[in-house]
Amino acid sequence: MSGSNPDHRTINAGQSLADDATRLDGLAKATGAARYSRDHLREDMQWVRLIRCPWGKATLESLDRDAALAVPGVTEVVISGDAGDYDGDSIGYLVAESRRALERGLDALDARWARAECKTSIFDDARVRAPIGETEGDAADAIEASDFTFEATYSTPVQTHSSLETHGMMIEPDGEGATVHASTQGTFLVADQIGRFLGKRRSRIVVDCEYIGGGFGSKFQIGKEGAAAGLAAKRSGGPVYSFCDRREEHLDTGNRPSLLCKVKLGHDADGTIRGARIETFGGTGVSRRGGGARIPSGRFDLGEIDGRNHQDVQFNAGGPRAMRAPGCPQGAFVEELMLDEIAHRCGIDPLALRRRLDDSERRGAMYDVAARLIGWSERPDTGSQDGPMRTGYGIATCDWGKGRAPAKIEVVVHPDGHLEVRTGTQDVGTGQRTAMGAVVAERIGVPLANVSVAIGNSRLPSGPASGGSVCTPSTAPAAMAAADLARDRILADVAERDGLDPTTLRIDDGVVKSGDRSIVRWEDACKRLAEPISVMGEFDGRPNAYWGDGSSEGVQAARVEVDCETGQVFVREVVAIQSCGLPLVRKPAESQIIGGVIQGASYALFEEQILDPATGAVLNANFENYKVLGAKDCPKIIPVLWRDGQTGARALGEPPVIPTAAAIANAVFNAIGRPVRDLPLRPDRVLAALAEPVPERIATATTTKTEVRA
Amino acid sequence: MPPEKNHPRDGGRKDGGVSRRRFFQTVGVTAAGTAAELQQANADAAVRDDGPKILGPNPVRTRLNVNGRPTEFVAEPATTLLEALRERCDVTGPKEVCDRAACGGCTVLVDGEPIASCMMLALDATDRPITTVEGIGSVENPDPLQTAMAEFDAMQCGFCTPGVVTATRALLDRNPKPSLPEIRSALAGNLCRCGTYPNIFNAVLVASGQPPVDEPTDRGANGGERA
Ligand code: FES
Repeated sequence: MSGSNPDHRTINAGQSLADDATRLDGLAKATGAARYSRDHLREDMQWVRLIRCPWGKATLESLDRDAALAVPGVTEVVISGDAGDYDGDSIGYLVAESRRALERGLDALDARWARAECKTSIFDDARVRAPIGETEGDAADAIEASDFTFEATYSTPVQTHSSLETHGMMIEPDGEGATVHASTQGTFLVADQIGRFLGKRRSRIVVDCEYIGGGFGSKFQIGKEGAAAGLAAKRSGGPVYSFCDRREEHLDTGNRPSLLCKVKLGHDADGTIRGARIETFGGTGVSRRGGGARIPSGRFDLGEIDGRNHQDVQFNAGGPRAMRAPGCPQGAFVEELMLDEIAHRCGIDPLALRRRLDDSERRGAMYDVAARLIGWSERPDTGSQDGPMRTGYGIATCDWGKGRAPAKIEVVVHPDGHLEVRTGTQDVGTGQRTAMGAVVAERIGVPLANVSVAIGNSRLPSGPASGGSVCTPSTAPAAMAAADLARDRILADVAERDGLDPTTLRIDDGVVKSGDRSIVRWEDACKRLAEPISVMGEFDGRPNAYWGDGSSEGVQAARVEVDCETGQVFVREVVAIQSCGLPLVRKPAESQIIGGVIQGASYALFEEQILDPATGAVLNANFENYKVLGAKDCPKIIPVLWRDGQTGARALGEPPVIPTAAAIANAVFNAIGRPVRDLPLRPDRVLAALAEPVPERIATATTTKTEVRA
Repeated sequence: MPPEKNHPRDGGRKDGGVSRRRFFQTVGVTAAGTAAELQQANADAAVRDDGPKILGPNPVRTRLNVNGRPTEFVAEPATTLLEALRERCDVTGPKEVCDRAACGGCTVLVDGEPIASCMMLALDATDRPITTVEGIGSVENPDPLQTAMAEFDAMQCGFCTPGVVTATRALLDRNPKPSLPEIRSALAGNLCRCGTYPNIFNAVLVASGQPPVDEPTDRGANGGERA
């Protein structure tokens, strides 16, 4: 078995620190041996379930607490509220000895609700419905001075994280302490948060999250399900199991907020954009904040910007949480589609327009490769096709910052040559475990087979949460530092024993060498240790010897086919070029890109939370009607890790999800000749767009100032 | 973004609708063709003269054959196979994800056929051979399919992987050399939120002795310098 996709290999060979390594826990995951937080079950545990409001807004009329408590197996009913502000809002919780007793208890409780008027859409807000406001400042003059103005409104839906493992935890109290098996992307955050509910000191709490079924930004907080678990465990003193079901997961564990964006910009006939007013409205459910979108992204020269016009708009639904590149895919969708609309009006190739407006050298080179790989030269003229099946090509971009956080990595060298890497930071699926092992193995100079990695436990050395794509860039320098300490220690021993100058020694594929001369095998060198030695690599989050250079930038190109009779969009191929400084382990790194593209394509085509306008109930809070992209919808994806000599580990988790929906929307515009300005690109929207005329080209219009309202 | 109309309702969840589990709870189990279980059932099992034999609602003895190991336990008749496996048999490879057969995370083989174990009662699986991902292979002795999954990085978080492995093992058992469209179809019921489908496809192709998709092309290197 070759063990890798040869296409990837052709493109990416030699790009990463460990090109051929496979995920250290791949077999554990493929055989069911991996035990996730939700897999910690005990016969004697208590089950917890929150009592939730079933409507957009309602007050509790009655419930029968005694009846619930009378159900055999129900041990506790806690009521802490009497009203709900969204479907899924909680007013208390129930504890029972079994899942069945819990369900019967909830039935017996017989909560009755009086429904009230509620807001189910950001369009219930007059600010959203109003036309775009007056442009202010320099942008007003810039728009005034430009040849043409362009106005349009774009929107994106509420998307839910939909991690397959739902939120929650299993708590095992043990005297003064407790072990908390949490589904979290922040080992140490859980340790910080759960203590006050559990009534135990932080130092006595062990958080275990060795295997986690996804998070995507929604698992930094223990949530109500965690708080209830803590309280229930405190009261009973015994094990407690509290996980959301799929419906609760959709309702009350965060989401990517919706966006409505109004744009007015001024541009010249050659595509130069002189200025723009951008207004954004984030649909944040009952939350007061969190609906911001990153637009303008700063990747393109849009002239003078009047862009500090963001407002969060509340309505009766669960609030947002960070979701993979918060605010970015929605911003990219607006900005990149807007650019393509301008390019079309001016009769310019959208790729050419980007080259003009984007001054990143790295993306400049990526544009060439993306165009070549997707076959950009085959791209038809926008609006030129008729017939039922139409093909389109689109391109879009991303970038990401350089955030870092303090991290520690411990390396234990055993006398048998085994290297144990220890890090409390979690692996949410990124390949963090494998990356840390590979860095240590590579840096010391021994095969990865010598290395094991303990991960995801608060007893292990501390590290960042998996957020902001800082985890790998922060832990890699710590792992390098630890590896250097371990290697130097062993080499010093060898040098002293053999009377050699330690500075001449190195380790190559498990053999200590001086120049070309082999001195001793790694295992034999370690045998001389009386006992295991432990070293700690520390990174304080600031530039140091392991910082390196690098940036996270990307370009994606998509090819779609649109069935103009049904309005269905088929994404056929996505080329995803992404830099992340020095990629650590090729296969999981490529997987991050592939996964980002798939989530982005899913966002582009399918995902949206739907509220019943009459009641505020969420109508699609499960997978049979909240559609996410499946095996039959999956495009061909070409992930390209772009290294070009960069040496420091940089962000990779979030950036690849940013441009995909934008590239697909642009491809659909190219195919059908009309922009679809609302995500997801549903068949009804495609058909509605097809009923509109192809937007006018200004090159053929008069050169005098024209108002073209989109 | 116009106001939404005509969206599918979530299947009858509160206005007089009956959920699947609720249904199980209400009716107990009509035990057509399960005379053997009946004999083992606790005394609470009632037998009506004029209708189907009734089990429950009190716990009954339940017998399963999981990965070649027979096990017996007492559980309410409404217990799903998934619950029985995870909560009574300590077999946690099958995952509870949607609990309504919409995601494939709980897929196991019953009589060699892939089924959503959240939608089958444990009692209905009595004495039928059940294979979970653990029964397909182990870390020490993996099935070639599992090895290929690891080699091709066909998992990220890995929560969907047990269901994917089980569904594709069943595919290969009935179709040793599936085409890519056949693989996609076989996996149409298995959701992967992390987005690993292309790697899964290649793992299945290679495990069945076929080349992975997207053979090397002459597109060349990525324009960046080699490390
Ligand atoms: S690997 Fe995470 S859901 Fe498939």
